[in-house]
Amino acid sequence: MASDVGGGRTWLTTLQDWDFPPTVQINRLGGAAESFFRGSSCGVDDYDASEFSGTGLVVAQRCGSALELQVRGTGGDGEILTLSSVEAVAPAVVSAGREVFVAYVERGASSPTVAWFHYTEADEWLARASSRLPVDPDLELPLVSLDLASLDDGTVAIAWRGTLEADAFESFDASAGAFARVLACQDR
Amino acid sequence: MSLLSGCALTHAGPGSTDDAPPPTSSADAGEPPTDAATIEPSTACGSASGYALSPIDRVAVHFDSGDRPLSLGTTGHTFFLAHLHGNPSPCDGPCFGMRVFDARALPGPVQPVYWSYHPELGSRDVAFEMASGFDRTLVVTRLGNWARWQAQPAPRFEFDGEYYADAGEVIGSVVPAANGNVHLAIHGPAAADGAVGGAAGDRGLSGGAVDTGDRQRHSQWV
Repeated sequence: MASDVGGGRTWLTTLQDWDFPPTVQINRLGGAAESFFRGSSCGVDDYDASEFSGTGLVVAQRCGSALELQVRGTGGDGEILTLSSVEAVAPAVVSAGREVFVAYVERGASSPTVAWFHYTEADEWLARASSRLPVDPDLELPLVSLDLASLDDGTVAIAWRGTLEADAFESFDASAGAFARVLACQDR
Repeated sequence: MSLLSGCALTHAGPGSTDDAPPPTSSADAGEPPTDAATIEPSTACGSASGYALSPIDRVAVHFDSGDRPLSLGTTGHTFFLAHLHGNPSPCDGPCFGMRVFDARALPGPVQPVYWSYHPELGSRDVAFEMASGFDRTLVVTRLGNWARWQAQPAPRFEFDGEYYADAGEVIGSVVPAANGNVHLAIHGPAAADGAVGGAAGDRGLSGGAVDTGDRQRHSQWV
């Protein structure tokens, strides 16, 4: 269960996994009315969600080697954008207005990728740009977790973690994190 | 968020960025955006599409991290990175810590979050995370029906709030609420008193959200 806030609302999301296929279920609390709806049914392994444009929620859900992006709660089901060949790492997503940034690990990659999309008023996805982040040679692969956040000026930070040995909690040399920043810019 | 126009920072090294739009199933993906007419032709972003994600860090910034998921939060002008620091650490052992940085400066030393200590810190189930919203960012520790949080930025030894859900319930997340309190998402055999909404309306997913305004249990550092 995860929560996110925005536009005066709190969003609760859960991964329904008692029946096949696993599905992201979304509750919108607050505002004029509470509502409940489901994400798409691709067989979700893991997901992340972020408030979108004050009224909706953008969900990034990984289904095997595919990553789906979908905006919900804005009236229609919205177009589903699919990225293929991703590693088994939970994605992370944030939005700023109608701009959406998602971080994930491409198949065989040693560092995450951050991709920038725009979701139009017509409920369509437009690709803006993407960037493979620098590799940290000191991290053990595979990468196992990541997250991202954005500043008001368009700076996006992505942090990720590699693999630790099973007893790393007591290890004196456990060291497995990295982060990098990118700047989202557009020509005048 | 206002995107930087003109993009003065286009110092990507070879191979460190990929201007090609990522693969997508959308028929429109990769096509010029519908509002492209409002954008002056330029190569300032170093991208034919007019948009770029320009690297700020040429190399990844390495830091010590234990075996928990990382979590990033933001107030809009500052990043907060929460992670488990390995051993040795400033707190003489593995401990949860936080790093603060902005758009350009590198983070300083990890700031141990002493108040996040819990007898079961070693449990893999302890969650440590940032939660942002309504101009606040919380650093949250939670395990089962217990959660503590502190609002940032204000590194200090005391936490701002603590909450124990009823036995058998699990606190799934803690986020800022619009009224200055926090919302806890709780799931378990039944929603806690004061629930303001069902979390999932399906079998096996009972739960709800609790505003801590009247049930928050403050405690001082002990």
